[in-house]
Amino acid sequence: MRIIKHVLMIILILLILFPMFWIVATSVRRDNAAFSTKLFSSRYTFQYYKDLLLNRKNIPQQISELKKMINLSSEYSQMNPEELLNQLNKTEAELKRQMDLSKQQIAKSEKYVDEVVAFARERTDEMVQQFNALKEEEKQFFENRLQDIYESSEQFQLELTYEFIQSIEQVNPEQSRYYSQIISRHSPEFINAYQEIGQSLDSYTTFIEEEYQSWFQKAEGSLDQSIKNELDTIQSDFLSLITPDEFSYSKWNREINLKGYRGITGDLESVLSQENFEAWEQLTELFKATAREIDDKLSDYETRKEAILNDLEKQMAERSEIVEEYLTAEVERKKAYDAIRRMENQIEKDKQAMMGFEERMSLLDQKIQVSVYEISELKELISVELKKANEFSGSSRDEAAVQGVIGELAKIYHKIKEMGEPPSSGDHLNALSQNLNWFLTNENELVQSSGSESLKNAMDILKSQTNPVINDLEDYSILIQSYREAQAKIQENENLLEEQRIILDEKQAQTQELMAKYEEVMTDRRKIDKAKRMISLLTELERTGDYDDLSQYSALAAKFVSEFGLIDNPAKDLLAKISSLDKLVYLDRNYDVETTYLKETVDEIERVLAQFDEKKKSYVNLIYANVMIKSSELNTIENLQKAAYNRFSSELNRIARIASDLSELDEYQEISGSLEQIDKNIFESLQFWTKKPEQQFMRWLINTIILAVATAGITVMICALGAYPFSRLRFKGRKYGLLFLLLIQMFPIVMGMVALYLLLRFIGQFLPGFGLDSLWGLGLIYLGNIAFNMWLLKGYFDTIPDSLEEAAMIDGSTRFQTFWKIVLPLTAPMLAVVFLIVFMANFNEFVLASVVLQSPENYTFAVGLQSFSYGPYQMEWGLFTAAALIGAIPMVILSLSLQRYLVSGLTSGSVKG
Amino acid sequence: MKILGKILLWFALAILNALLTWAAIVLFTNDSVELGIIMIIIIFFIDFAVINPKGYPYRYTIPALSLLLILTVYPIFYTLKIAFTNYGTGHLFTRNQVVEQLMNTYVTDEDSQPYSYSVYVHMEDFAPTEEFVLIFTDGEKSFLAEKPKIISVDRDGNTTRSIAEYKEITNGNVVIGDGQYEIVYSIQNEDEIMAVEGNVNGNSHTYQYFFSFDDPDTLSNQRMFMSNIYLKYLDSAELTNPERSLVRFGRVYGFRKLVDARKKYRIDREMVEENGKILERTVLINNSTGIKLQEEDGTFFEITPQGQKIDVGGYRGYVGLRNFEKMFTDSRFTGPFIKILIWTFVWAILSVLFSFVIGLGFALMLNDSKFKGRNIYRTLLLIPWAVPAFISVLVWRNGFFNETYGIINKIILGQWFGMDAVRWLGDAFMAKVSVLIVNIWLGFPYMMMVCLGALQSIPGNLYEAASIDGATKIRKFSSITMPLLMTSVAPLLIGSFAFNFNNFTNIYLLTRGGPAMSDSLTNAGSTDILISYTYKLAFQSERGQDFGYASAIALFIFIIVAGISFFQFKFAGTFEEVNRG
Repeated sequence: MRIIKHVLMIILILLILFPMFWIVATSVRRDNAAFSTKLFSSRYTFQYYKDLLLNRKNIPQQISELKKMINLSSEYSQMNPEELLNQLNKTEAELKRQMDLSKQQIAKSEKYVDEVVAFARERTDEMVQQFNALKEEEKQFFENRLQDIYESSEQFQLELTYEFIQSIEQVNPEQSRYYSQIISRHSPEFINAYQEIGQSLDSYTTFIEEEYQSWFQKAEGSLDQSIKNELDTIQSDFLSLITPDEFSYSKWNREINLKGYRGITGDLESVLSQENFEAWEQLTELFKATAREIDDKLSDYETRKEAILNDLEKQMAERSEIVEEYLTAEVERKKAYDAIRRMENQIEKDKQAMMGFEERMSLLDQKIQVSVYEISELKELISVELKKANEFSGSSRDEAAVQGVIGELAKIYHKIKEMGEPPSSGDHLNALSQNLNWFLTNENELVQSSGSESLKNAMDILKSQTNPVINDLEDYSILIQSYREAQAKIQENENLLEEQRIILDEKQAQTQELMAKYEEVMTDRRKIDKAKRMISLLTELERTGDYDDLSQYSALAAKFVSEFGLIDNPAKDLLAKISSLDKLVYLDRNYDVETTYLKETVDEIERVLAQFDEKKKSYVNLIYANVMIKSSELNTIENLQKAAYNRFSSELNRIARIASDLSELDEYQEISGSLEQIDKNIFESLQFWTKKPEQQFMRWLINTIILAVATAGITVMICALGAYPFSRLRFKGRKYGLLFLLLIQMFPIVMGMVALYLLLRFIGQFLPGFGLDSLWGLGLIYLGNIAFNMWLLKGYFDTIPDSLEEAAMIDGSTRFQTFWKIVLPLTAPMLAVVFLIVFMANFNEFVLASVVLQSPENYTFAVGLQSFSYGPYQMEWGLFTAAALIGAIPMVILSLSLQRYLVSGLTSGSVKG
Repeated sequence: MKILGKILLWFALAILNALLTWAAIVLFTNDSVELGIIMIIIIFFIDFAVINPKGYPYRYTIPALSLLLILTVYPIFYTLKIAFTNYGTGHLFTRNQVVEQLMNTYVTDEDSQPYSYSVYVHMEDFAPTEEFVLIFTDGEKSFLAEKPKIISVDRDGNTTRSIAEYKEITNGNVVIGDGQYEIVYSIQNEDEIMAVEGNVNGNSHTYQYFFSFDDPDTLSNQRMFMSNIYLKYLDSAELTNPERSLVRFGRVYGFRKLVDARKKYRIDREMVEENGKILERTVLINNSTGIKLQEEDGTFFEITPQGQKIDVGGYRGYVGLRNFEKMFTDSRFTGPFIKILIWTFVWAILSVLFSFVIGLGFALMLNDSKFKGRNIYRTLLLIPWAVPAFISVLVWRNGFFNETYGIINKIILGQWFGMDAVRWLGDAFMAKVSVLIVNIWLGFPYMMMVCLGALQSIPGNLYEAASIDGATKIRKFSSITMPLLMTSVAPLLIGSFAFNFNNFTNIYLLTRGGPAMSDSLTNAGSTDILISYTYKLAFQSERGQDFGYASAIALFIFIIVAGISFFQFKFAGTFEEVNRG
């Protein structure tokens, strides 16, 4: 039972204190915890603490100091020449020392690297063997995948079969088995033929071999070695020409070989016995006959193969026809569609033109309206005149003039008739023609009355009216013409459009139909492409296998995996192993390069520095003669350093990371110590080169300590002084004073932050040292927090007996003396507690400090730490946690030792709760 | 010896009096009457305590009282005062300052012919000095202006106003006040002015042609002109002539030309009846329209003929209960405010409740004298409380709750459980959960200590008696432990509630009050409590600072906290301590 309680307690405490462990662990981590995927790391360092507390200048900073000196900027502006020279010497020496140190640090790793490389070499052979073993399995896996694809696509089967049939004779036996497997699924007849020919070739081979051997045994005795050898060559050549595995068989080759037989016949004749020679002759005859037979068989096989291939081609062609057909249909559909769009556009345009015509016609019509009005007026006038004129008929008549006018009118009238009905807004035109008609019908009467003077005048006016009308009508008729044409065109186009639409529908249906097939074919094609890629990758994989190819292999296999999915576990493990070994190879290859580069950079910088050293004196002389100096040496050094840092930070860091990653793997257990050493040495060496963020941590810490100690001291003094009379003396307003203290401490100082901010701003106008953004101003505000502590001390004073003071006063000491010499020493422990409480409260205070302080050099610890968690430092967890820990530890110790006072109810409001 | 001491004391007192009186006067003249009054109170208190023998007890409290008056009483009072004003962005200055600013605004006649000008500078050892005259012409008439006198400068030393008189040049002569100027024309060209001979009160200077914007030959002098002459004397100069209009450098032409200008406003006095008294006050009148500027809520409004109100400048002014109306009746502000108020209570209550329950649990476990190592456990459990809150909160924020890098999302949820990232600080609800988790983690050890103390003070014989009566463990806990515990712990719970009610650090450092409420006019956030809201209103000014509204909320908080504290003191019997004295 008790043990369970203990276990439970320990688990809970571990959980609760986990953030604390994390802070400690993170502050000593060497890698960047923010980007790491591990909770804790075994690579530790105290670098962050060093950086925070010592803030020592490293190589880049030393160089920039040198530059500052040469420009006499910041703190160097007050120096005299000797001091400056001294300072220059010191900085140079320090720079050299640090560069040397960085060189030495990295050189320490050399022996470890050798060890690691030896291990890697050894390990590679092992790996190659493992790899070769696993490669077979993998190949099987890939081939199965290929099989899957094969089975899923008819098209692919076709293409692959076609390809394999074509090349089956050229591949090795193993591959040919695989080929025939594939082929047999789609074209068993070919496999039959292939096997048949193989078998017959086999049997021929056996037959030839047997015949030859039986002859050879008989003839062997009489043959010398050279002839035997020659015979052997000829025989094996001949046989090789007909073995099914190497199908390089050809008639021409065979004939050459038979010539070989014939050629040797002469030699044999002289050495062999009659019987044996005849047997030889028979043998060669037999060979010839067999060869002929083989020829027949082969040509038969070729024909069958040809037929099968043709058949396959035809099937494949069907497929590509589908594509072809679809594409053509699609093109036609597109054409039809485009034609429709074009027509629609045309119709739209024509319609707009028509509207334009209509508009213009209506304008013209309105124009004609004026003429119509005038003509009808004239008509009224003339008709009146006509009646009058009838009375004067017979006087001197001017028929020709009237007839001329009427003729004009008739022209217009006919023109209007000719134009036909206007498509719209033709009202006034009709009115015009009616009016004209009146003149035409009354022509005779008009002619007869042409003697009337006023009629003649009216007719003259009428005549003058006709001209504009004629012009307008001219325009009008053209418009009507165009309008009609446009209308006709639209009609025509609309008919065409209808036709085209029907065509398009047809085409669309057609393509729809073809599309399904086409899609099928295309899917197949994509699959085929994929499979072909797989085959080519497989062939690549076939070729790899030794140390140099390892990384190539892993890249290839990774590509394979990413393209075709996962491979089985052993292969995956192997891939991982290979890639980690590959990293080791990387380390091996790059370590020397990078360290040499570092050494060279150091040498180069030292060389330039030596140049600078020589010129230094004259530089200083010039500076003090008020000449602006730009030292090209320092610029060179700075550039060298920057370039070097850029390269180190990527390359050396990568090596270090590789070393640390590998050191954690089980398989590198043996060399993990060396790897860790490499990692550590690189890290430490790079510390000299790393450009570190500017931070003023120590300044913040000192600011805070000074501020907290000063305010705590003053607060304690003032509180002790102020609380004393409330405890010892009786005076008017004492009770209300106490109540006042009690009430006023309810108002948290934080709530008055607006007022305090404005108060400080106001004070700052007159006393800048106590204004905003000053520690003194902040300290002043902190002094406002005394009511509560007075209350606390008053309570403690109450516990000290009066009798001591009374005795002292009897002895003649004043009230103040008793307070100073008796009460205060007796209160010392409580004063210390109050001091510490106030110290802690002000050390930890954040709100007011963040309101008041603005510039980083004035920050207190709390505000500074907050700036560590935002902006550029946000990911610098090492620096942040180290800073946090430095601040936290003294506070934890203080808190724990003062817990009695802090937890008691009275103090709850002041510190924490 | 004693007399010497006395003399020294009196001397010091005199100096102190002088200093404080001076301070009070400075305060009175700087619109800071309240602080001035406090200074005077302090002077009287010090003098009374030091001079009057009866004031002896008060002498001890002089430093404490002075600090309390300045740093605690004054801020309370000031907060109270600002809460009824519109102090904030757009209302930063006093009425007089704003009136002065408005009086320095001009309208330029953009239609009128601009003047070309040229500057003639007195040379000393062939180097230009800052002594110069300005000649400008509208094409027909030419005028000469003296070097303007600087009237006012702002805090950075930039001239804000300078004035000079100008006169027309007649027959090559100008007389301005005491100065007589003679124009020296070029011999080749009658219109070209080579130099100006000036004589002011017998000091004669020769001013030589130095710069004219229209003359490319003087371009090389432009920089010198801009820095030594233009920005210092001319940029805000008003050139006046009793018979002609005012001339200055306008906005349209910049330093290229001078233009006729008029003051936009003029000051007038008006009788206003206020509370039955007739008061005289200044009003501003637009010169071109003749319309009086309206004043409302500490803002000057110009009324256009169309009846539109245009804000031309705000000053710090009394707005009555407007800030409190904003809190409770203005729907744009009330929504977020009520949400924040509710969350403040929820936050404080849940923080206290959970820390208390967890703390009590641990206390019960540790309150067992036979339990070995309990002191070690207790000390370890105290660590979260002992670490300064701002440090732990920052660690939680940065290392644990960060969405991408924080170890909770990246390692614990991501790697161990394969879960998706939780938006700890980005999602309104999760952010609330996060701040509560951290606050409970920080607060439970305190509760544990408090409970442990209270548990140990419960006499053991009560339990023995209960055991004899056959009470179960649960019964003992509910009938003995809890009631006795609560009597001593309750005041502390209330105190803890009050503390968390204003626990700015945890909220602000963890979430900065965020994520932002989408429907708010102010920068209110989902995890903001009243105090952090106040802080953001006053000091984080994306949308302008609003000291007035912030102070009103601070006042509101004070009322709540005072109420809570009153209860606490009642519980803890602190008032009796005062009376007992």
